[in-house]
Amino acid sequence: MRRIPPAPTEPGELRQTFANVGARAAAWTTRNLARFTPLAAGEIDGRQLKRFSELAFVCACLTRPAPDGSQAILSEVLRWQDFVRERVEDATYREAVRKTPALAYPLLFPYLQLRSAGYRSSYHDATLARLTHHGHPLIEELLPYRRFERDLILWNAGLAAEPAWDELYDRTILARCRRLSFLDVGDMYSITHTVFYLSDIGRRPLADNLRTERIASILNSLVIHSWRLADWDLLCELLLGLRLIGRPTALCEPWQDAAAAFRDDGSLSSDGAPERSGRGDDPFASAYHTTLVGVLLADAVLRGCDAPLWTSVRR
Amino acid sequence: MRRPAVDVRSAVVRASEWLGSLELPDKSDDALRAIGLQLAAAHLRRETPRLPPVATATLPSPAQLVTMERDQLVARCNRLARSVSVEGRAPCDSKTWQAVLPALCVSYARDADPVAVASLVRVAARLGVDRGLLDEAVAFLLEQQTDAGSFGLLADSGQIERRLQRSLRMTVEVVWALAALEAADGQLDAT
Repeated sequence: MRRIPPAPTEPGELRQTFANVGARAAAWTTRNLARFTPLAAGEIDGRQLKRFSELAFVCACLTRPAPDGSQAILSEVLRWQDFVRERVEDATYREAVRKTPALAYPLLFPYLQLRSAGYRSSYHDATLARLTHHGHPLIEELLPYRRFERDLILWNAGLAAEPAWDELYDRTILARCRRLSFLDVGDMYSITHTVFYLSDIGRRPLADNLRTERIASILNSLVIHSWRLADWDLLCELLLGLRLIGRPTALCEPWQDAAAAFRDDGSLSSDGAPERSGRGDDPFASAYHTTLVGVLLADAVLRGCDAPLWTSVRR
Repeated sequence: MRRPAVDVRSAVVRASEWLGSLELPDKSDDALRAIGLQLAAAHLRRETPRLPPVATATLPSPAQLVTMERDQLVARCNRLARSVSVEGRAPCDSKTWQAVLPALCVSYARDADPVAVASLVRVAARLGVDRGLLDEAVAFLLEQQTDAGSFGLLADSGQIERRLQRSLRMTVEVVWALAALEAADGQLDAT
């Protein structure tokens, strides 16, 4: 049996733990900012661009008034935002969007994140206007949850109408799945991301109570699964999803285990999780995504302190 | 999504027929076959399955059950299902078990592990978990039935003799779980 950290005496204690690990994880990210650059040897690199986009996404999620205990995270996020802005305005990067219109959406994704936080670049806006005039990026065929992401991001960036929430949701695996044993790992990530977008990362309360209860039930079931397998990356995304819709877990122990999984240097690694392809010997590659999710989770724990984290009676 | 009782009943009847027709090369397996037949009969009569009881079993916390090694979990669940009394139910409320046990069943179903799922279903029946919450677990167990009537899809299990032994064990495990659920349902209907 895995060792489970001692139960917290009260939810406030766990919140304090998340304030600490969140601050450490944010500081780790700042120390590793150079690894998030989208350029490799002076050119845009696909793998690097993915990291850069994820950083920009988390920046946009966290650039809002910080709750009590989350100021340390916000101060790091402001540094990330400067980093993202500088890279997006780099001449090589700006030109890459116009040189390779087939990759325009992934290349503009970080800028769209900045735009949703109020930043404007006349160069990128001109690029966007040209692309939109010719029907891009709406011509792309996407998986339903990716379509949800795109529509939400364009709306948040002030470039499109409000997403058709129900219509987008109804096409996703989350809306359609009837048996959780049919889901593979990719499907589970589709579910967590759908919850992120449906709730607009916690900014949009879910109106339909029946739907919310169903989603909470699915997330809670997958929490048990990912926690059993010590899959910290998936577990943190599921816990984050529950926080964003304001629903508790059945148990407190997954929270404790997730908090205890952060390393002393602040990183949180997905290493050891089954069904995950190896990422070689690069500790950064296996840690950066989970660490960013960990920062989002810590921030979500500190927001909405009235909402309980779990429901069970303590042991 | 709930599986009609008739599906479960016909699955148990087929399993019982398979058990009855089985020619076992190893006579030491006869006792297990007899238990399987007894469990199937208990299911069809909606009676509580009678297995050699153990006096007391201690219920782990839900968190301990989730993080337990698989073999330890199966052994612990089997002891719980056979025990005359269960200790340690407080302070965990039944609502927590209602959430954790069905989820854990689904988690092991994803691992293609009918023995673990059957073990958990028996404990869920013992603790009075709502039958509707176990529909996915029951559906998974029923899908493990072969055309011959045994439970366990074991085409990849090597030698025929070894496969037969594993089929016997799995069939008894699944029939036991279905019988435990049926008995729990019967007790609910009686109240």
